[in-house]
Amino acid sequence: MKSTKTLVALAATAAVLTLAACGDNGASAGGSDGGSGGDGEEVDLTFATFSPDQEPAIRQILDVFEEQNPGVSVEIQIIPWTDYWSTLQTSTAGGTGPDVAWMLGAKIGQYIDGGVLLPLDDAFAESGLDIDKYPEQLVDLFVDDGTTYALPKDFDTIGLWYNKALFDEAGVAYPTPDWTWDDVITNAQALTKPDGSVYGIGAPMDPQATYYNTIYQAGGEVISEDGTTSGYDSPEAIEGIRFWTDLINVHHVSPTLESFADTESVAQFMSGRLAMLTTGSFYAIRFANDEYSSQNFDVTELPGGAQEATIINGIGNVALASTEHPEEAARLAVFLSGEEASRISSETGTVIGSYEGTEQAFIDAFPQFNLQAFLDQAENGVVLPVSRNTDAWASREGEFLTSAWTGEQSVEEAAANLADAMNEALAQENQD
Amino acid sequence: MPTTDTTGAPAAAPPAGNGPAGGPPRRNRPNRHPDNAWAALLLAVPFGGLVIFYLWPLLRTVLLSFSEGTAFTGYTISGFQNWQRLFENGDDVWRALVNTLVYAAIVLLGVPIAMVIAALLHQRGLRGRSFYRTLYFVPVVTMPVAVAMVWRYIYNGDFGLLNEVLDAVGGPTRAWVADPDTALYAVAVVGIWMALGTNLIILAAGLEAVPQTLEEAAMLDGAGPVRRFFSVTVPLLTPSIFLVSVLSVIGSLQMFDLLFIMLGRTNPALADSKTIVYLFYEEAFVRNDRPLGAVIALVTLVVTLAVTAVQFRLQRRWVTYA
Repeated sequence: MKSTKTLVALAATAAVLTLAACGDNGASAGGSDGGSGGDGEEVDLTFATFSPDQEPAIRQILDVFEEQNPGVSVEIQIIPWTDYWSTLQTSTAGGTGPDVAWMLGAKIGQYIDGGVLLPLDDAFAESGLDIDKYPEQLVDLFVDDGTTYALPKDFDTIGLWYNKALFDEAGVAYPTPDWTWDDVITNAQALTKPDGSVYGIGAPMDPQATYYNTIYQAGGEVISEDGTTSGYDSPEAIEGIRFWTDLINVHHVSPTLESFADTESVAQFMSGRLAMLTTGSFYAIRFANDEYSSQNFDVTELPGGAQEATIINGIGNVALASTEHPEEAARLAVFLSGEEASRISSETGTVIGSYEGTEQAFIDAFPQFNLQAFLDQAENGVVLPVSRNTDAWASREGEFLTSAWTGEQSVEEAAANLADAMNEALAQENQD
Repeated sequence: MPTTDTTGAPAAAPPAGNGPAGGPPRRNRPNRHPDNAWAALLLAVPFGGLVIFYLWPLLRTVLLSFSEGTAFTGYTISGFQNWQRLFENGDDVWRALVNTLVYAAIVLLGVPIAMVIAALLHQRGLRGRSFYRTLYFVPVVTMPVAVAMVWRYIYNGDFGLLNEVLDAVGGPTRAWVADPDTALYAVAVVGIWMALGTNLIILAAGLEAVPQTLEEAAMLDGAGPVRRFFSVTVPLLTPSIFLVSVLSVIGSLQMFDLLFIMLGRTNPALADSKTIVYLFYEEAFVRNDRPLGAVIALVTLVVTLAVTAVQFRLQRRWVTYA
C-alpha cells in the first residue's frame, strides 16, 4: 500500500516535469504593460531580438527613434537564439508578447496564418521610405497577399572566405571571383597537409552556408516555386550536395562531419585548420574582432557552377497585433528597418544595411576584408528557401543527409529519402 | 481521506526518504480542534500548487494529445490521429525508447560506484572527510550546461584531452561523441559522474544509520573489511540503495540537456543516441508539432511509471528493512 503510493508519487512527479514543458502557456516574455496609455501620453514599447552582438547598434537606433517620437520609450529584450522562437510563439499566442520583434522569412508564415501580426502598409506610407530601395526578393519574403508585415532591416550573402597565411605557406594563388568548383578542388588538394593539421576547405552540413548555394548553382532547387514539392530528388540538387560530400569522402580535402560536430567549422577556420570556408557576411564582425582572423582572412565571391548563385537572407521587424499601442509599434517596426537604422547598422559593421545607399558604410567598416564581394553577388542572390511551415521539413534535412555526409549512403539515396519526408511534410502543410 | 495505510514497516523506518511513513502516532482528537483548521490551511498551499502546476498541466497535455491546431489558431479536440502518427513513426519512437533505457541502465552502474566511495569515506579516522564529500558534490551544484561543455572538450576527436591521454598510452582514439558506436556511452559516463554526488549523500546518510554494534560484532567474529562491507553494511543499506536506484532511473529517463549540449544538431551520432525526451523536444519545439509532443510526453509518463513499478515489485526480493 505504502509502496504503491510512493511509487505513484515519485513517478508522477518526475514525469510531470516533462509534461509541464508541453503546455501551450510557456514562459511569458515580459510584455506591453503600456504605462498610462492614451495618445500623447507616455508609451512604453518592448522590442525582442536574439542577437546580443547587435545590441549596441540597436540601442543607437532606438535612441534616434525616441528622440523623434517624444513620450515613447523602447526597451530591448534579448532572448537567446535557442529560446527565441518558442518564447516568441508562446508569448504571442498568450497575448503577453513583445510589441515589436525580429522575424525571419522561414518563420513568418505561421505568424501571418495565425493573424498575430500588424500590417505595416500605413506606417510605411507615412514614413516616406521607398520600397524600391530594398532588395526585392527579401521584401517578398515578408509580403503576403499584397500586405506588408515586415521590411528587411539587413541582408547577408555567402562568400568564399580564405586564410591568406595558409595560401602563402603552400604557395597557392588566392582565389578570384572567376574560380569554378573544380578550381576549389584542385587548390584545396594543394593546400591540404598530409598530417591532417591543415585542410583545404571546410565542408560542414550547413544549408545556408554550403549546399543550398551549390544546389541553386547546379540549376536545382530546394523547394518548388509554388512551395508544394521538394526539389531534393532532382539530378541538379544531388549534384549540388555531392560536391560537398566528395570533398570529404573522395578528395579528402575537408575534415569529416564528425570533426565538425566536435569543433564547429568557423572555430576550425579561425584556428588556422581550414584554408577556405564558405560562409556569410555576418561573420565579418567576428573575424574583425579576432586578431589572427583580422590579419589573415579575406573574402571573395563564391565560385560558380552551371550558373552563379548565392543564398541571400535578411531579418525583418514585425509589430505584433497584441500590442496596446498599435500605431507606435508599427511606426517603430518600420523605423527599425528604415534608412537611418540601415545606415547605423552598416557604419558599425554590424550587418549590411538593406536600404540602398547605406551598404558602402559596411564595406568601409572593415577595410581589411574585401566585403564588396558580398554586395557584388547580391544580384545573383537566391532567397533562403521557405514555405508556410519551414521548420517541419528543414529540421529533416540534417537527419537524412547525415548518411550522405558520412559516406554510409549514396547522395542519391539520402536525397530521395529526404525528398519523400519533405513532400510528406509539405502535403500536411498544404492540407491544413 | 481514508486512513488505512498504516500497514507499512513497523518501528525502524527506512533511514532516508520515503517521507512521513514513520511519523508520529495518530491522535484521536475530535474534529473541532483548531489544529485541524491550521492543518487544512497548511495542506491547501502545497495541494493547490500540486493542482495548478502538475495536475492541470497533465490534464491539458492529455487533451492536447487528442487535438490539432497551432499555437496561434488554438487547439481543438480532433480524435486519435496524433496517437496514430506515433505508431506511424514507430521506428523513431522505439529507437529513442531503447536508447533511453540503455542510458538509464548504464547510469544505474553509478550506484555501486557511489556505494564503494561512500563506504571508503565512512571509514573511521579518515581525515578531511567533509573535504572529499564537498569535492564529490561539486558536479551536482554545477550547471549541466557547463558540465556538458567541459566534457565536450574532453571528448573532442581532434583536440580532446581524452584522445591525448589515450594516444600517449597507445590506446584507441576516436571522436567519442560524434561516433554512433560510442556517443551514448560517452554521455552516460558523464551522467554517472554528475549523479555521483547526490547518490553519495543519500548513501552516506544510510551508512550513518548502520549500527556500530553490528560492525563490531562482525569484527569480533573475525570478518575482514570486505566481508563486513558485503555481509553487514550492504544488507542494512539496501533501503537507501533502493531509493537511489529509483531516483537514478527516473532522472535518466528524462535525460535531455547533456545530449542537447554535447552532441548538437548536426552530429552524425544523433540518430542513434536520441532519447525519448530529445524526440519530444524535436517534435514539440523544433517542428512546432505540440500535439505529437504531448503524445510523446505521455508515453514518457507511462514508461516511467512502468519502469518504476517494476523496481518496486523487485525490491521485495532484495531490500531488507531492519
